[in-house]
Amino acid sequence: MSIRITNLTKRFGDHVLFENLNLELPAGQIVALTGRSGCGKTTLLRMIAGLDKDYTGTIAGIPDRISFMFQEDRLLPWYDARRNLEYVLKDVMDKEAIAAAVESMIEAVGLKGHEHKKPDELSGGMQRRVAMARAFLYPADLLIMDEPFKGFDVALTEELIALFERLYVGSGRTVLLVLHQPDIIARLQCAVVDVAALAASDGVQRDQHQLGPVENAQRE
Amino acid sequence: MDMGRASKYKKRRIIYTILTVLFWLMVWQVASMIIRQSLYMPSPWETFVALSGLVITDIFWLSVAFTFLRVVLGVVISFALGILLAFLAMHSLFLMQLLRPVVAAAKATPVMSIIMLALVWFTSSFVPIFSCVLLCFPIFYTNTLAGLQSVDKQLLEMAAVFRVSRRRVITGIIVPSVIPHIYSALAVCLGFAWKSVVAAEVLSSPKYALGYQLYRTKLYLDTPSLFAWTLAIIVISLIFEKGLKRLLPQGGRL
Repeated sequence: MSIRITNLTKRFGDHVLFENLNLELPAGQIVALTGRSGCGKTTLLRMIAGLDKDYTGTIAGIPDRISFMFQEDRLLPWYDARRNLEYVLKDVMDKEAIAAAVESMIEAVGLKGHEHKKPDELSGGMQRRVAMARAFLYPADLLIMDEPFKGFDVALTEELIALFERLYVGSGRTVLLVLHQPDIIARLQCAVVDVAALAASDGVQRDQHQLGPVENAQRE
Repeated sequence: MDMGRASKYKKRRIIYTILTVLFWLMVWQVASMIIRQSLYMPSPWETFVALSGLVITDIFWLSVAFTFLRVVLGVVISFALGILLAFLAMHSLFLMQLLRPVVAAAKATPVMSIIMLALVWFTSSFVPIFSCVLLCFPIFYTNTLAGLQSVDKQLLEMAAVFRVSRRRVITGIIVPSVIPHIYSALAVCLGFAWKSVVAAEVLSSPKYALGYQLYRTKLYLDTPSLFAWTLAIIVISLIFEKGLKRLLPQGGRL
């Protein structure tokens, strides 16, 4: 089921970020939100995830469970990698299922041998992998990712993208991510939504809205 | 190689400790020789004789046991009350406001005023416990509250997105964040608890109490015994503190 945003208006004090925004995000594929920084990409993700409820209008078609990979890793510093993964599953799966799922995920993301390390004992790239593993491990139909490949060197970024591809393939999930690099957008065959063009505060940006590589998100 | 260096370092530390103790014992000895009146300054030997006379009496061990019990009770009550009220205050701004002057007053009130007040209100055996609670409770309360306020909002948000149950948010995020704050409160309180309990015992004179024994030595101008009891109190409170610290997990994390 696609996500339908209807007449959404979002303000920060006097600043109007979105005004009567209507947007439909297709289901079952990767949708990239692009646009200059501060145009409201993260805010849009947060509203969809239900973390920001301070808006008018409606957002429909949100599944019961949502998985979220934040810009920061947000791992529990007192738990090792394995327990960090288990933590979000304990209320939705039984013990055996968790053990099996976590074990195979640790293998899949190349954390074998590091699963008993706490976040501060892992490298930045490793921490990011744990965060990605957690996002994919959680049984949700909608996966939201805020700049999952940001801030690493070329090799590590490539590693993370490859990991993302491996985990995503065949999952049929809807993935909503903030992404800037056109090459990655093309590689992952994302539908593109230019959030800057939807933002209310900047009329010029709206006029200059350009279609992304595979623009199939509909603006109503 | 490293092991050798470590044990060498350890040996050196032990030697330094012994030398330090000997040095101050000598200073004490010299001072007592200059003053030459055991009423004012008993020598280390006189104190040792007094102490060895004490430790074979029943009254010594009964006093130790009862004072110990009062300290433990005082700390446990402060601990439970402080943590409970901090959790409640976190959910009720009204309660937090209500407790603010109480905690501020308890922190600013001189220990002696608290003891005097307690003497008016309670029986002798309860005065030391009350004084200890009034001194330690604000420390547990403010530290726990600070811990609760320092809980990482980003982690709470993460748990909210993943629909983690309330119970698991408490055990997985809130408790681990607060525990280091509670440990530091505990470390501060242990010293306070002994001092306040003994001071209150001096004034409230319960039958079995280290403080009361201290008071009696002063009454009979038995300064060597005063030194001996004081030494006993220091040693016991140190053992108590070290023992408790060993029981707690290292680094204050689960």
